[in-house]
Amino acid sequence: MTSPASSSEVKYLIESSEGNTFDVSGAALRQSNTFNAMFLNIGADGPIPFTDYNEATLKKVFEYCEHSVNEENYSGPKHQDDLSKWDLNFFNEMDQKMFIDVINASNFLDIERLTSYCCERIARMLRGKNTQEMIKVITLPTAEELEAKQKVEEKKAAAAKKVAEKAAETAEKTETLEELPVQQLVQTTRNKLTRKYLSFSNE
Amino acid sequence: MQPIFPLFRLPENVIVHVLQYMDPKQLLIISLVSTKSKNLVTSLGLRARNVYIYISREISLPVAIEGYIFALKFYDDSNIQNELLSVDITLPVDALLLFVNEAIKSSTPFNFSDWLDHIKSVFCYAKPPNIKFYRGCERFEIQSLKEAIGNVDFLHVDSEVTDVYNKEVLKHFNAPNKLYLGRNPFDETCEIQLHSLSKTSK
Repeated sequence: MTSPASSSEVKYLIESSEGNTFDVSGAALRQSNTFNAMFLNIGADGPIPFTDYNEATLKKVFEYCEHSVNEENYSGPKHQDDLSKWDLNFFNEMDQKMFIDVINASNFLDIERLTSYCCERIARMLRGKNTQEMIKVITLPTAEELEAKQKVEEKKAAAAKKVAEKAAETAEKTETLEELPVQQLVQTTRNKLTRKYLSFSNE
Repeated sequence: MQPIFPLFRLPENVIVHVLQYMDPKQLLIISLVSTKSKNLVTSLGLRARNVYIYISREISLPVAIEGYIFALKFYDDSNIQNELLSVDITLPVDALLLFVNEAIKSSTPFNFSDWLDHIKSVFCYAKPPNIKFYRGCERFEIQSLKEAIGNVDFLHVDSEVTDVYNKEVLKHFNAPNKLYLGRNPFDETCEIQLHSLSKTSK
């Protein structure tokens, strides 16, 4: 962590899941309530580990924070129609995977403004859908799919049971085989003793 | 092609945040998707101010929630020739959104009672509902209605409801907090009694 005179110029090092580090301004980072609660008062020596998220996601999140540093104080969510061109580009250039990663990271970092915009965007996506469409869109398994899944699970369980039974059977056989040498030993001992007895009696 | 978005794989607080951007009608639709979605919508704590049940030849269910009103309609089979064809309300039925005539389906089959219970639980409505009977309500069997609706807060029977049905309504929904009768179904009996009284006095 570097600490120049002005607090707005303070740069923090962020560490991603890949172990890479990059700089984020203090002003941008302070939009994260998680950061404020965890590090602001106690300070951070060395990079701040946000290692649950990859570099691309964290950079995207802090790109948003850097951009909104100079925006007026957050006072509830903006309507998506009121988003600036920059905001729209920011959201539109993300694919779905990145969008989900950004929501998760923003939620963890507790960046109110970004999380709210993302959530409103999802709500808009679901607007006007009926139950069946909603099921398709949010990829919940339907009753039929659940039934099919349950059947597969049952088959798997039955197969696993069979394997376990076979294993138990094999183990039982092995035990019988292991017992053989003992019996053979007893028999051999018995034979030896008989031979000894016979040789004694011959003498 | 529908875009797919794995909403229910997001953290619950994020899902709740998304739900906060939806109006009660959308919330009702999403609450029908699964038990999890129903629980999440219920957790928003939206409270219905009033639940009315209007029974004519169809059943309407207007629900008022924090300045927003939507109404569901059931058994709107206006194309069927026989208007008084009786209806079995214990069978599964789809709901129609009143005014827009958009069908709302539950993911598992719902009968009228299930719909009512679902709305009451999702929108935290614990009071007995209000019920109004109008002309044409005779196609609904009163015992089944009583079983589906239970006790009522306000009972209204319109003047165009037949006396026989009116009496049945009063027999089954016998303890409302408020009662309005469009006309007295016992008028005839009163007249007969008055007539016989006057005869005996002569």
